[in-house]
Amino acid sequence: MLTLNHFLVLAALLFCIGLFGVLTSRSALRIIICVELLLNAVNLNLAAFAAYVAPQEAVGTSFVIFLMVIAAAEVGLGLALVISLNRTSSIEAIDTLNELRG
Amino acid sequence: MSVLSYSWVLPLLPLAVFVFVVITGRRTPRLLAPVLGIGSMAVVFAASIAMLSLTAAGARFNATITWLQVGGRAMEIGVLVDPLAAVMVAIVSFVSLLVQLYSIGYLHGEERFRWFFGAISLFTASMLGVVLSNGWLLMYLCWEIMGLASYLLIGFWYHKGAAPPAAMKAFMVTRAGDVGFALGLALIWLNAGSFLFEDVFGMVSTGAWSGPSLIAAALLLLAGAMGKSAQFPLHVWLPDAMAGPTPGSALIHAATMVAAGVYLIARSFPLFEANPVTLTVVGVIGTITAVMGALIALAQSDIKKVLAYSTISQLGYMFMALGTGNWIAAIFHLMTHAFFKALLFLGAGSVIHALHTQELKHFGGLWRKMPWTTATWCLGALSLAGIPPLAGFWSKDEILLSALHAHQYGILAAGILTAALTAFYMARTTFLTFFAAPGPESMSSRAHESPWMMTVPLVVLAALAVTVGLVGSPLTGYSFFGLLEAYEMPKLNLPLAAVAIGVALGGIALAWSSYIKKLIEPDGYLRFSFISGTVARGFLIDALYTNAIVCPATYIAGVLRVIDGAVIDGAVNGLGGAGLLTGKGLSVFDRKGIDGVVDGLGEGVVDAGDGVRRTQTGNVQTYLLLLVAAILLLVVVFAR
Repeated sequence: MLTLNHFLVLAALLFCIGLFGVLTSRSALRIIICVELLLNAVNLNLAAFAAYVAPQEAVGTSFVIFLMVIAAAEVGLGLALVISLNRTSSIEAIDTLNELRG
Repeated sequence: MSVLSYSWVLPLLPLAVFVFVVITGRRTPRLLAPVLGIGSMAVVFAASIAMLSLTAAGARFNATITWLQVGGRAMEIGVLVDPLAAVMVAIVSFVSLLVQLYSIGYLHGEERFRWFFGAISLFTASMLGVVLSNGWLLMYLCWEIMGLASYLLIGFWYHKGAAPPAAMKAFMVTRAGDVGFALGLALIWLNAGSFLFEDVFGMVSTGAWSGPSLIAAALLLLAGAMGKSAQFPLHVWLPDAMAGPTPGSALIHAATMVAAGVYLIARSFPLFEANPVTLTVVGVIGTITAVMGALIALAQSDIKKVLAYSTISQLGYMFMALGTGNWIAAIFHLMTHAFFKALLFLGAGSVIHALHTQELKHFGGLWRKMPWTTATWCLGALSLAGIPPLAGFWSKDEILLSALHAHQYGILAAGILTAALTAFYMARTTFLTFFAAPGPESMSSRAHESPWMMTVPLVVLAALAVTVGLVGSPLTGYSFFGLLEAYEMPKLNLPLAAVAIGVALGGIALAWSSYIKKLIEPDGYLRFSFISGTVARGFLIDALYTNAIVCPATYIAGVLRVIDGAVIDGAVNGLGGAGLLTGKGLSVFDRKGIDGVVDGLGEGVVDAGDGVRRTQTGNVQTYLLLLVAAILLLVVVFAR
């Protein structure tokens, strides 16, 4: 039987994997993919809480759908940034981008 | 339960082909993509034959699952198999099968050869989804995927100048109709609380849902159908969509996408039937579209444009049938049209493939060089013109007959007029392409017959364009109408049929005397500037849209830019100027009194900044790591 905790653990795992990827990847594309993992981990939490805690309310589900839209917009923006970055420097080595160094 | 319960698999087969092509890309053997596409279509077509025989014996399948549970209300989707769905699946899969076979020959040197078959498979999958769904929700989803697939197919040659704007136009114009569809969905959900056909039709038939909201919902669904089926005034995308590869046009503009609108209305017919006013609107739109499309087709000089406007006109014919209340006649014409128009598009493609031009003036006398293409094209053209016993005659006659029975004499007259115009422009195109003596600009000497991959589909489609109408004729006891459970069987009306044949023959004879015998100056009517200027450019509807929608939008944007520059920038600059003045006053005081304190503070800050600067590595990931560490620290400190 699936309980709320199963979903929470899965979401936590997803979040950690995503976080690890964001912090350690050198490729901008991989970072974007990992950010998606982070968003979806949050989404999974919301959906699980909506289903287990307040199934009669549309609120949780609506949050999930809003988050999906935001995630889509984020990907659009992120990919646009990556493409324009790729014109000036390589996206395969994000750690070389340190023009903002103090 | 029967084998019909597996019919939900059918749309997934071409979808799987699409996913496979997308994932494997260039790594797959070149011919694997068409083989998979054609194989999946062969399976679907075989299944559709089984579906036809089972549903004809009375079997039905209708299953529903809950897709979403929102706030205690279930949104349900499901599969419905009945004779109408079976007929549509058979048409779609068969035409798609032949089009893909043809495309192997047509696109043989193309770089994105595999992608074309992927896109066609996605397209077919979405169309199968539309015809197999048992509610509007799933239908709408597949409907939108179809919009995307048509965008991909029209924009296949994205490096050619005309294709990207045409693809975008098709997407945007059909989207204008789809907004209506989506609003109609919302109205249905609000009033009936369900998206399933059976629930909503039940409420309509018992009168639990009636009144203005029902009329509004039907009209909004009609808007969606008008967009996809290229009905006036949303027809403008279809002629431009000819920028895509011709086999794609054959599939999109003959058998599937444009048929989806007719199918939507036929499927939702109880909603339309409930109020005569909505049927009248459907009929009026169909009549305008049919006559307008046929008139524009007269004045085209591009073989694909002739077929495009002809398609618009024939779709108007189907809407006329829906307007008279006889949706079965509309589906019958949809079926015959799918076969003979796909044949004509593929025949045009064969000519274009040989000569790399679409202009009629570059053709002429091709029948010597391309015997198979000529013979099959002629059968298709005669079928479209409505010459018995070819398919187009029976379905066109059925529509005229139902107009007569419904006492819709305006529709009847428009139908006969359109039939005459259709016969004339098809004969004109046929003569100019294949039979007339080549003109000074003709390139016909370079022509050659197409390979067998292209001629075999032509021959098969020609055989169907000849025979498929018989299922709706007295010779087979109107078996098509029996299959779709018509309440009353149509009866052939000999005087009406004689009039229809007469005007068709008249149109052909006129074209013959003009383009072959030159008794009348060929294309003499194009001398009228109204025809060559206004009619040939589609009654300037495109120009109207450009002037009425695109230009005002650009103009408003320009005005807003000026407002932005003058008012907002002015305000900001004014504030800045005021600040500057104040600052000049203050600077005197500043230099005398405060600088001392500030310099001391500043030097302190600079020293501190030098110390902290080391943490600013400029590397985003270091920042993130610090952020995460800080959050973890806060969690540890405060979470207990």
